[in-house]
Amino acid sequence: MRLRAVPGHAVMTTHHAELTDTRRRALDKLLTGYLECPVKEQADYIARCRRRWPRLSRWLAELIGHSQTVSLLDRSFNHLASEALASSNDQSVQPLETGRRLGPWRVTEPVAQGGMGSVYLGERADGAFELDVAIKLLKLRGRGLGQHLQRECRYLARLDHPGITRLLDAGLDQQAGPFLVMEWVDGQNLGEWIQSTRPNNRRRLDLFEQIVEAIGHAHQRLIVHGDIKPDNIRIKNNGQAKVMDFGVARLLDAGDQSDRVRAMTPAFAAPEQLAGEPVTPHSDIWSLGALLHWLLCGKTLSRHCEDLTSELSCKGVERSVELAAMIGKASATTPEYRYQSCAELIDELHRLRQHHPLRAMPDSRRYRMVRFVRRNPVLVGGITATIIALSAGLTATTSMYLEAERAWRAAAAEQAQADARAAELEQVASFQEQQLGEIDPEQFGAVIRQNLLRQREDMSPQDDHSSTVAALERALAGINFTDAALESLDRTFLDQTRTAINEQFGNQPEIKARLLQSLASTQVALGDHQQAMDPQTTAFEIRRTVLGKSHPETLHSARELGRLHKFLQDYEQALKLVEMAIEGQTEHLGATHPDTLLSKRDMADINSKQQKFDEAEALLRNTLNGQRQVLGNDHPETLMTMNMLGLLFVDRGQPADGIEYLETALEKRRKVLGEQHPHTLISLNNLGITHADLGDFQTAEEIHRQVFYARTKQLGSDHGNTLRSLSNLGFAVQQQGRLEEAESLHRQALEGRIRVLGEAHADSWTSMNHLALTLTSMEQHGEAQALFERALEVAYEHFGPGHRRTLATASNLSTSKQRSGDLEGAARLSGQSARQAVEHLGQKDWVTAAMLMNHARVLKAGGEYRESASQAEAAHEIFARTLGKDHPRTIDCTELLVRVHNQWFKATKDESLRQQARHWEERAEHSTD
Amino acid sequence: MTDADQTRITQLLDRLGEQPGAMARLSELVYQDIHRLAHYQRFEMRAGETLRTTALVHEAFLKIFRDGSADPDIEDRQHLMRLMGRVIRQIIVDHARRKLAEKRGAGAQHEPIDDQSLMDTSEREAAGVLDMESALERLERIDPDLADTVSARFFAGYTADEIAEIKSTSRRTVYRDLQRATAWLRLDMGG
Repeated sequence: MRLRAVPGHAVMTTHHAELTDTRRRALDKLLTGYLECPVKEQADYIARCRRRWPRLSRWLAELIGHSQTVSLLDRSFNHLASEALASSNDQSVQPLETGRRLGPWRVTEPVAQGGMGSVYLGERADGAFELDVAIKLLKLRGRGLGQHLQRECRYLARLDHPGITRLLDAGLDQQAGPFLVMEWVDGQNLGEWIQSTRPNNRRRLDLFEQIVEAIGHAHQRLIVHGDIKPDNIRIKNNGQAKVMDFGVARLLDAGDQSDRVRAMTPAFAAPEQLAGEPVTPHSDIWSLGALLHWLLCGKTLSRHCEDLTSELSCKGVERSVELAAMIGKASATTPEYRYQSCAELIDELHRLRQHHPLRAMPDSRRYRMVRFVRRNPVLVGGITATIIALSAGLTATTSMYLEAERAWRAAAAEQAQADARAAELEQVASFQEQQLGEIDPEQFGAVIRQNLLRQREDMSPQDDHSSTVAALERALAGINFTDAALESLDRTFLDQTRTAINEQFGNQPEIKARLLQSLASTQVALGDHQQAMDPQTTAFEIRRTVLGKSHPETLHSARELGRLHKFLQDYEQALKLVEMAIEGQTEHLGATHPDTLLSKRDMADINSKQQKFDEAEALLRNTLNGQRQVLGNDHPETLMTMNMLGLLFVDRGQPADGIEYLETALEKRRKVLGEQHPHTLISLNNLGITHADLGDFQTAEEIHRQVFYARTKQLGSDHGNTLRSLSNLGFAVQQQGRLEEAESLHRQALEGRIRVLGEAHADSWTSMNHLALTLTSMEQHGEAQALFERALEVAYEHFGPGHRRTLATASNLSTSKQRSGDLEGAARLSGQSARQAVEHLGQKDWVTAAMLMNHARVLKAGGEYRESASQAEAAHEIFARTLGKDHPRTIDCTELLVRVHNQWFKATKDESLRQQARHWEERAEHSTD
Repeated sequence: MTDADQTRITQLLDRLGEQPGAMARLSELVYQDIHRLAHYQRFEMRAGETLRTTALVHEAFLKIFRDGSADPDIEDRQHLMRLMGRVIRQIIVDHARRKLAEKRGAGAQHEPIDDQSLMDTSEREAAGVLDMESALERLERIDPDLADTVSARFFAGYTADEIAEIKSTSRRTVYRDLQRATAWLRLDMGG
């Protein structure tokens, strides 16, 4: 049942007011009639009611809706019921009078009445020594309680920690019942302490750490607190936190079971505790999360709060994002998602303090980058400084290797120990992999660039800033900072790792292979596929030789190597390796093992890259079915496969079929991973591109805008992915004819890309073309041509003369020249690109046809009909052969041929030309049928 | 069932046995109902709710027989069931009222530390119970018998089958009644 927070009828809609008791009775009769009706006749019954009592029927519909909810209203007042019970018990309890003796103790004054019992200040009755104690009377009844208390006391006596109040004695009084005697703590409880000292955030976190430490001490001794809350924490006058009432929750478990609920405070109790399960260290961790929340913003943690971050930042808490993530992890609903121990939580507190990335925030690379820079504010000044910073990091890691190696040699005689060392080494390597893999070179590059500029500004405060900075910016425009970052990482960190691996583990092939595999994975994670090839190949070969070709580790390396070949577009090799992996995995793990399925998906990917779409589709469907069975419909990998299947259709020219899969994958990712998860955004982006493909630019625009905003927020405005979205957005806007808006978007994208990636980058090239095309549509030919020329230079240098992109740029430039009236220049360019296409791409590529056709168009504009017709015919032949005679491009070319011949006829009045025009016209009409 | 429960039930039965007249007649029935609850508790429930309901049932017994002291004049099991539902409902509603009143009273003092607008679980429950109480009062006006059935089910923890048995009616009728009651309560509680 869902409960409203406000009692009474305040929220009731106005039409409820019309429901008089008379109407209610009438309505109740109708409802009874409906409920007694056989299911088949219910619809008729409602229709009948609607005709006869139209106004009442509105209510009836609503009532029927409510009656079909199966969930009953019970389970809704568990705590209240037990509290009610407790308070009705309370009335019969008489307080102890001053001077009353309990065992060797004497009551001096009453202190508090609590849910579990009452507390008194007391002292030694026999005067053996002077000691103030807290005596706690427990509301417990039951047989065998005396022995149980003693057992628990011995158990609790194991706790000896400055942060925990000591249990001194326990006993059973005939009248008063069971009691506990504890060390008396002079000071304030947590709430009072906060009100009186108003500590800053840092102080609060320090105190929290003390508390976690104390709880951790107990957990190590297998003692759970079970009722962590502000009232159970006292702060001594010297600032020391003391946790009270340890194990009382457990003690109460032994009593009347209905007391168990009373032994906890709902706002600080873990969900499983509320459900009645016994307390565990995990439930204590949950309570600690709730306590941290309370400590920071003075509010109890709402179990349904969706945006902890803004809740914290509203309360003025600094670093609210990270703290919210910590609280979210500690107080996760599922125990497995929480910090697994107090030690882990303390470690996280240390990470927070030292600006290291938090465990609670695994997904954001930007976040890690920012933390890295925050930790090394001086070092990350420029490229050199970065290298120093990374070398410093490396020295530590290399010395770890050396140390590990030394120790390893010392223990070489004992095989068992050697194995342990190898495991340790692997941990070092995987740590390195994890740390480096998290670095996003694009982000890193942007950071390096920003720091360079800032340093320049700092160095020359007297200079005319704008001009020096502008000069520097111009100088930096040629640098691809992503590559620079990658290179510096590679040269500093990984180079030495490579050397270390070879020198130190040359004669231990298995370890060497493991480390090389790890190194290769690191490089792949960094996006440096070229560099990864060498260690990946070596790792694979070593494993194949040493472990045999069907060993799981060999198969793993085979697949990774296959993937690498795929990235580097050596598909034959890639296929061979992935096939080998699949074969081995099918034999040893089974055909539907998740790893086997992943290899099959890799194979599908390679097939689709080779345009073998049918094979790819079959494999993807096979993978998808397998994953659905083994991993479930909503597993991220299942969704990845579904997304790939969608893209396959798009690639194959069936965007309408693809969209269905893409949309399903998107919906699920939204649900499973969340709206802002990078995978969700990739899905959205794909969907946007596909909609544009289908000509639905309006939807495409909406989608790209959404992705752009999300990425700006997540990655910053200078990240490659953000700029990609901006560019896609610009294209969708441009296609809808909003040229000025498109111009501004493309300008932003281009400037950003030059900043981050340098001019000579494929993405920058794309933006130059987009912007120039937009400008051409706006008849701003001067700037458009200048841009095309720059793009052409980039293409020549970057892609080579015969590359499709180079050709496309040349063809764009010629169109622009033609439109601005420079027919001669246009023809020179179109002719050149047509020749280059024939030379480099050959007669079997439709791009060659496109170049020929473009040249034909320019020639026609210049009145050279004969040459134009011959080029167009050559183009038509290639189009018809490669794309089919019904393809829009082929038809377009046919229509060009009609126009060429018609104009040629007009110029010469040669009848045969008119016939030729008719001939082409017929062909055009025929193919459009 | 714990030792403590057992002790209390025994005491309760002893007390019932001491009562003259109607009490003597009833003790057998009462005994049966308590054992039904104990059985239900031992075999079917997960820790939690029914347990507390059981405890509340004991509490209600005490209240009925202590407060009504002389002779509560219980006619039959159905009467007892109705009484139980009402009394437990009263205990819980009273507590909810007190709880919210305390909260309002205390509000001014501790404002800076704990945001008072944020209720803890039992406070939310208290608000919900009062909400339900208003809805039940409305239901009582048009069908008092239905209100009693629903109280017996939701507050005293009687199952639909038991209610059917006690009221000598069919299980289907009870289900339908509970469905009807749920509809009204939900409507009046705003969904």
